[in-house]
Amino acid sequence: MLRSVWLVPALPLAGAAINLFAGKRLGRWAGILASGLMVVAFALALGVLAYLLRLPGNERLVVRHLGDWISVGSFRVAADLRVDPLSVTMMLVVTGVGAVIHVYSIGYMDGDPRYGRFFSYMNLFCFFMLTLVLAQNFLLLYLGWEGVGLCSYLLIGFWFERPLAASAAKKAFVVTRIGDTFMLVGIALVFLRLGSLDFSAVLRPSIESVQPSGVFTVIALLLFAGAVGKSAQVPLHTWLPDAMEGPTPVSALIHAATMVTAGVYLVARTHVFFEISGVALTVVLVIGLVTAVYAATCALGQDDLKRVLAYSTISQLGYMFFALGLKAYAAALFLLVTHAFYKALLFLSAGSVMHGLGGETDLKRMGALRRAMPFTAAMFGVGALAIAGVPPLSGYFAKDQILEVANRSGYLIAWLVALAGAFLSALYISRLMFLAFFGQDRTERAAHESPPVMTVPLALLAVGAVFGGVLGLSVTSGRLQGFLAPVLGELTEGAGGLPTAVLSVISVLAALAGIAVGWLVYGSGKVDWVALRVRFAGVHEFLAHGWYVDDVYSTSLVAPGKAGAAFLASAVDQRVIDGCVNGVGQLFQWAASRGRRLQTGLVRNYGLAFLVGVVLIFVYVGVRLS
Amino acid sequence: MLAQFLIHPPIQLGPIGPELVLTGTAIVVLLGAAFNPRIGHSTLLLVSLLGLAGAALVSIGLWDWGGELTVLAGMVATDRFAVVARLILLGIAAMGLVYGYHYFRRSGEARAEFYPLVLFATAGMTLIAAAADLILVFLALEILSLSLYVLTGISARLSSVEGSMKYFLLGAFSSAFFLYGVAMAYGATGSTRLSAIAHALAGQTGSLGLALAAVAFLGIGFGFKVAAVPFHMWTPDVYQGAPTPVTAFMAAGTKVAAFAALIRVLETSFQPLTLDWTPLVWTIAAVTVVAGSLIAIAQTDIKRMLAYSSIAHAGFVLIALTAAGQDGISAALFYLLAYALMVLGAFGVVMLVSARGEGRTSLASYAGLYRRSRLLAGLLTLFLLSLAGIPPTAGFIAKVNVFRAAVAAGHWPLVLVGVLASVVAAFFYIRVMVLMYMQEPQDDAEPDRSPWPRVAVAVPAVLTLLFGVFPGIVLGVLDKAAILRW
Amino acid sequence: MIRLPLVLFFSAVLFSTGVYGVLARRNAVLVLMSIELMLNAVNVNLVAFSQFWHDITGQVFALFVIAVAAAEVGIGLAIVILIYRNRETINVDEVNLLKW
Repeated sequence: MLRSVWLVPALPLAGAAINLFAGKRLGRWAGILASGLMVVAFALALGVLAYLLRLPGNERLVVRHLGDWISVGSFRVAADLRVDPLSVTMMLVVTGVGAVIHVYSIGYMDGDPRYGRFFSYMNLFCFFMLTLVLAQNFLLLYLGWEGVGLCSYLLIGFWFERPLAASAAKKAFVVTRIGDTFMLVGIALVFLRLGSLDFSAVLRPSIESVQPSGVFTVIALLLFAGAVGKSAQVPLHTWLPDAMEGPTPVSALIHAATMVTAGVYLVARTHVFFEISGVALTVVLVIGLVTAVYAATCALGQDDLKRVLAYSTISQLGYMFFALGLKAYAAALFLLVTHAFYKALLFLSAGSVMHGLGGETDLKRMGALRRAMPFTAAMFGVGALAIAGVPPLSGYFAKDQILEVANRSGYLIAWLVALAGAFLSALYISRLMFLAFFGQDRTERAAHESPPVMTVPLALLAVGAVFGGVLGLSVTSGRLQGFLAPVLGELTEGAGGLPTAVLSVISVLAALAGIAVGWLVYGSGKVDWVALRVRFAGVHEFLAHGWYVDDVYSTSLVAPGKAGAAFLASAVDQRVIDGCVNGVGQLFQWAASRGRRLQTGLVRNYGLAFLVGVVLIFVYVGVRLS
Repeated sequence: MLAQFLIHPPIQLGPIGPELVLTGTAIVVLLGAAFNPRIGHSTLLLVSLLGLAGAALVSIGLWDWGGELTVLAGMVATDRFAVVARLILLGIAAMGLVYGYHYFRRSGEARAEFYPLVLFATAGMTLIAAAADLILVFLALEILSLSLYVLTGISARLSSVEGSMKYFLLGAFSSAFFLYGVAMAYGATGSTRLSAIAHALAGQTGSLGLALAAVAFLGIGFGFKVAAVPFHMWTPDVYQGAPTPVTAFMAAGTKVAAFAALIRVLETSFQPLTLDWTPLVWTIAAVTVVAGSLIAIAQTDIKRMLAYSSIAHAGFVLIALTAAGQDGISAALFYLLAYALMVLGAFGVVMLVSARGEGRTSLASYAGLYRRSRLLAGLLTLFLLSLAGIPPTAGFIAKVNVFRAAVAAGHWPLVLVGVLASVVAAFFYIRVMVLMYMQEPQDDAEPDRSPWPRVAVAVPAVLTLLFGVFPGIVLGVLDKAAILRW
Repeated sequence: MIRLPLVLFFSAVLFSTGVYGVLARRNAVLVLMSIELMLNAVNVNLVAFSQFWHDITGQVFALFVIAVAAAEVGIGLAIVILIYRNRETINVDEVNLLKW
């Protein structure tokens, strides 16, 4: 089974290649081919999981050597795939959720002129994502990392005729590149200071003795900068809400379930560095917590269906980093897995709504959709309950565990802030739910339910969102936590804190309170939320603009940058650089046209040139001899 | 008496097995076509390909040759270098045959001689890669050259015949220089065997003057074959005049074979004179990369442009040769492999764009190719990127390897020249891409849409990418092959 | 007994004559003959060295060269005939369709 693990990334790659070249000719089959390959990849991933489960717990690490990738002098990088519980978990999420979203896209993208191209990019994305999670060294991981960034760029800008989509794609690419650059420096530092890029050689606790801990702090923070960019954490989060310009399946797959979680994976994978450093862990914790609460408040102010979900994703990712900062790596991964289910479910349901309303995303023009699209409404409801943290849905277990660890860890303030975030999460998602599916019908056209090819994937994801919790019922002894323990270590129980039962009650109460407030304001009809919005217009605008972070960036960084670039372009580049380049270019052109005339077409002239060469060589021989 | 004659001296034919299979197949195809003129060309192609496959199998069998270093009275080397060079050449020949089958059928010039001629030329090429005696080097060189002169002129078009004539006259001219060099080497050391020459030169029992003259003359002969400046003048005319499949076969095959022989001769026989010939190779390499890259800028015909590009690439392989030893040989082998892939691919696309026979080879007819055929535009882009040495293609890894080997040998000024020349070269490769993607087609001529040739052209494309992303797959093998045993 | 340097000088002159012929003659057949002259210069060399080293290889090689030269002339004349059929001339200076 493990011999064929390379097939898991190779299948989507093959699909991407086929659809790129023959997508047009395949027509509808393009989507079926791409989805079929993903399903097979998922089946293979399950096989790998079964194989791994048969091994004893501490031997669950297999490295498949595919060959040398780069070998330049002493710098050798192998193309190795690492199969261990962490990578298998990620692989299952990518292939499983990916397969479902591919199937959904068959219906969603139907009739698009670049149908084959879409599936080509989606498959290519899966290939790079799988490369990222299966990589056994930093360079291969980086290859996948940049690859998913590229696919994200291509897919956000998939409808590049829309100026908003094109500029959002550019923004996403540039902002994540900022983090990537730091990350590349970090990788270089790993090689320079630790002597290898191989995970097995570098990611072991005894590496601590190789270098002073300051080095590890620098490395960990540089790697984390990459994670901040890719996972849209404060302060590099601004690209994700804009990225919603892409097709909805893309938002579900790339900007909710998989790519944005790459940062979480990276930190979990390299947690050894973060633990040696200590400081870096605290940074992760603070950034995660700030992001979690900040994004939850922003989600409250959004009127765009998908932007609410985007901010919600940022917030949930913040929770994951918060858990990582608490050394509860398994809990973070647990939230990652369950989040993949329910957030993909929410996005795809949102897509179903848009499909039924002809592309409408404005919450102000929705309402009472539960009558027109009951199934979608039910599915969205399941996702909403999961994200709000209502037991026994999967989201409850995941979030509850993180709050529990926070309480035990002694960071009491952090726990309270996180609890407030949980309340906000329940509030914004119930706001979304009530505005879209309940209350008055504010739609401008008749809505209709989506075809089965889109609703069946919803049902599959809903099953995951409901029952995903059984994977990790307890923070210490859950299935997933136990499975991941050989890679991520056991969680050391904090001494103090409240009993588990009390904590559970508190977090459920926070969730219910959020839903209750949401119902009161947006669902009950007793409060005029439109009037409220007018009255607190300042607050609303503040939240709607994401605390004006983007605007601050554009005035303080982008505008001066653009002005500087414009100066460089007009004054320096056009006059000085272009002048030189054109001059050199013309010189070459001139020399080339001269050289060309030497080729007279007369064979005797060629012989003469030949003889000139002979004479010159013999001049050299004569000099050499004398 | 007879029995003794048969047994003694023991004749070991194994190491020339590939050539025996190739010549045998060629004769079978020749006679088959002669006695049965109505025989289908697909049959001839199939038999020829089978012959190539058989030769490849025999070559692979020689990888673990445990016998003597040279056989047949010291004529044929049995090292892994020969095995790898042969395998590359056999692959080139297979591509050439497939291209030619399609091309001549479409242009209505189908001739049965094409197949045996390619096979004979291939036999010459593979033999030269294994030749351990200057006599055999010369004979193999002639076998391949004579076949190629005929192949160049196989089409009745005037430009084809003209190319053939120029190639022949200059080729015979350079052969005479090469032979003069062999005679000098023989005069200097009393032997034509590569190993014996090396021993004599190392023991300084020979005449240094004659030996240096020998290196110079042999270098001139090889310089002509690999198209090094100033012995390159034939290349653009012949590459343009020859039918495109022949150009593809010739451009890839001759260069690989001639370089294989040049490497062997320089690194064995004249290894004691390394200090003497390195400056020579150094200078020729520098002049070749610069002139090839520069003059290509002014070309308006894609076949001529690719010809100049192939001249420049000869210069890059020469840069690898300035770094003597295993490192340089390994770099040169990888470069030749990558070069063969991209040049086969590029000329394959040229053949398909021309659609029927020659024509439509001017750069202007590549304007808007992307609108006509995305596949062909995409493939050509890949090959051009590889020729320009841009990642993630084999051409990039090849250039990196060559530059690394040369820097390790202390020739960084030469590497600087090479890098600058690649920058200049990137200009005309990218210009073709700009034409293909950003301009409107000028006429509505359709490219060849036959499916199988497209599949054939995709093979080098896939390998170019594969070796560009995972060079480790072949680098290990090439490293093992980069040790000459003599 | 003729001394070696003298033979070498003779062969060098012969070779140079051949080179001159290739470069100076316009008639393709004469060019071919000049090339033959160059090859024969090599043969003279080979035989001389063979004598000098008391080694038979050189003479054997000379025979090979003669055989190859014959093959070369065969192909060369065939190409010249093709040119003649196409252009009704065998002046190499008039065959310059391919240039620049």
